Amino acid sequence: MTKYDLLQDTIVKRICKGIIIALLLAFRLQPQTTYAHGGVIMDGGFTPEYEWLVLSANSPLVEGLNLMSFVIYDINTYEPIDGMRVEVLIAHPSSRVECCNADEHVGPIELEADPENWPGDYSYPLPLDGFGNFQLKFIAYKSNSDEPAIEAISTMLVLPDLNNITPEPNPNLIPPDETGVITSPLSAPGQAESPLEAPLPGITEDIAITGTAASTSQSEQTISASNGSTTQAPISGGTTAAVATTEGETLLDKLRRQWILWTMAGLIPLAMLAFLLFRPSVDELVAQKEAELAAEADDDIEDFEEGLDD
Amino acid sequence: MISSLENRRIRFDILRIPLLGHFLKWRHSRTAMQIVLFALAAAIIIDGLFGTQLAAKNVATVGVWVHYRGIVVFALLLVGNLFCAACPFMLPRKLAKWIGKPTRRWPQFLRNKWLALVGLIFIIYTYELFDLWSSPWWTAWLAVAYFATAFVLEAFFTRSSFCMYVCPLGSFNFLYSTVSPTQITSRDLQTCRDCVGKECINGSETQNGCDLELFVPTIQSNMNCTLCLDCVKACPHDNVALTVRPPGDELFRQNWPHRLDLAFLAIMASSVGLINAFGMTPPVYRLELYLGDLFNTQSEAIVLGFIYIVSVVLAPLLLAYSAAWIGRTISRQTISLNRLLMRHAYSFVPLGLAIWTAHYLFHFVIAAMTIVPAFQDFFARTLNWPILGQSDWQMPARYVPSFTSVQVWQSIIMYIGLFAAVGLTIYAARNAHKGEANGRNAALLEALPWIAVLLVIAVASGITFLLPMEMRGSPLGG
Repeated sequence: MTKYDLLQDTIVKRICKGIIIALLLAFRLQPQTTYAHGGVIMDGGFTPEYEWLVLSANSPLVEGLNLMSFVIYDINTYEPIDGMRVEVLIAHPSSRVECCNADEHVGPIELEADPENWPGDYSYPLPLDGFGNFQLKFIAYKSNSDEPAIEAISTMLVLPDLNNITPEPNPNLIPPDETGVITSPLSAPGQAESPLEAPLPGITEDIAITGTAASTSQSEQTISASNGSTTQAPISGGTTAAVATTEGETLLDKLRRQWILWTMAGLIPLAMLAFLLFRPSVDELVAQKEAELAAEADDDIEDFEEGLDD
Repeated sequence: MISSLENRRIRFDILRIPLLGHFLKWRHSRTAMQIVLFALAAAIIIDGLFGTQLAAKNVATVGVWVHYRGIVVFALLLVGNLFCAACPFMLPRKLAKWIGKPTRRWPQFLRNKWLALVGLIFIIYTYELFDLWSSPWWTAWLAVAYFATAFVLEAFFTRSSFCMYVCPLGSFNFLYSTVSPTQITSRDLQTCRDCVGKECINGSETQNGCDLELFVPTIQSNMNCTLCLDCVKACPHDNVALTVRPPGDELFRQNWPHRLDLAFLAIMASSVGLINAFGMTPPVYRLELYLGDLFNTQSEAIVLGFIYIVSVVLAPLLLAYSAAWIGRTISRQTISLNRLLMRHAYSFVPLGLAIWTAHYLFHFVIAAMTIVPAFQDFFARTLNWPILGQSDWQMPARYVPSFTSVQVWQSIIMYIGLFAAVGLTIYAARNAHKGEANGRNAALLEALPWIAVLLVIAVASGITFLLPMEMRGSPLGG
């Protein structure tokens, strides 16, 4: 081995090591904790005039702020409907009063519209403080009218936040104009058809809650079983959060929620086993390769043409 | 070649599985599967044209852009080219052949994948430009256009010219089925040598042979195989097997070494996958605004076209030829750049499939169950025949996994794809330098620039998957 080869060998090894380290580091990048618009469909329905969807930017819903969108379309033309006033009332799982009224429940919280960029879309980060089955009542009014055009009650399971982290944008990770970035939901015909005309608005305002907010103190929180029954178990303090997880979301819920991923996880050992069973031996690979190399392309064409002629 | 080939070991023949094997060998099995997909295609077209135009609620958009794409990539990974096997666009083929009575063969200069590659890029470009994912109506027309194109070409040209040379979806499936764990092969080569009729390719009175002109004993690759199983049904000696093989096995054997079109398809399909994912994230908006200002235009077609030409065509080619040139220079070879490109293009296949899979995984798992209320809506509202009951739109959310866990899976998929790609490129270089003095070093030097290119694409994809994405609409990790 010459001096040049030795040097070359060392360089190659160092570069390889560098690449491996780079590979390992590459995907340790932190995700951008930005709000996104739309996402998971939580509910949907229609009236004689309108069709609507409720979308959540987060899944699963975790206690704290969750960006919710209520999108409204004309049921005949499927044009997004702007100019409405949309409010939400939130019934905590512990509420013993039927959903929803402004005296007993959180809200009304008015959803914000951005018709220039997201026509037909009314969104706001809603405070779901607590866990269990919340009920959200969305009420849409035509402009200059106090008569509700749409009333929809959606039940949503909210999980406890074990890390006690609210999904607020992290200003250290996100450029200012990207905080509260909005991306369009699947259900948005006509929305953001041209990003050239769709700058990225931010949601920076504080949450304004009007009306009488229901008590959401941690010590007074109760949980209800995920099947929607009224079983309630008072808990207190953060130490019970783990218990609350298992009670708030049953094992069946967890399995159901993750079923595709669990199925895929189950396939991995099967695939590995299959690979071990069916992989060719080295001798076999060598023999096949040699046979293929020995074969002449002309023979192939002749055989092929014979086949065609026959 | 057949005379010099040796029998491959049949590790496991799927066609020997009771019931399943009988069904697959049944003469009308493909037609039966096609009828199922044809019915789904009909639902897509009807709901797209006459149903609700809310994309999230429509069978056309949910079925095509969430389920079709998701299921296709998982089928390719776990089984094989199942969509082509049951392709609904080929169901009206007999009618087309009967009407057209074609005698022409597909033009010689188009017997390659260039047209399909252009078609693939064009479809992804129009998907982005016209927001096809948010338009049931246009999605339905896309399906109609696909049926029409397939019908016309089948009526004009002999054999399966559309599948072999035109269909972008088919070419995508062909390319990534090279990773699949199944392959058609002959059980005993001697039987093929002694076979007089060669029915597997020529057909018989009652059964077509392979319309894509693949001769079973010489099949070394899944490329161009639609898994139609016509060869199985035509073989009078029951000598065709659908065997299980290690996933990606053929990529290590480099079975299409002299096809620049396939090399370009492999490289560009991965860049199309990346740009397709990137095109749904916020930075692309800023890029478009910037380019719009730069070119002084408000035309998204122009700006997006520029982005596509640069990122899907020019940048990958520049990277690939640079890698080939650097590798050739530092490993002191005299081989042509195209030959090097073809040698290392195989490594883009697992990486590209990883990008597509990671991308579609998210869309599929967060909306997997929306197909149920979408079909309930289709029957109840579009057809006014509520046999599935009224739609329950609160149900799908109960089956959505956490975004964080999906992201972990995306990372795992990307890692697997990247390591497979790096392994392939090192293997290809080592294989090429086998037996040479100091060949090991030369191989590593040749492979290094390719590893760098693969790394760039993988990291770019990884970053893209961490961004909030349209339609996925999630604050990842938030």
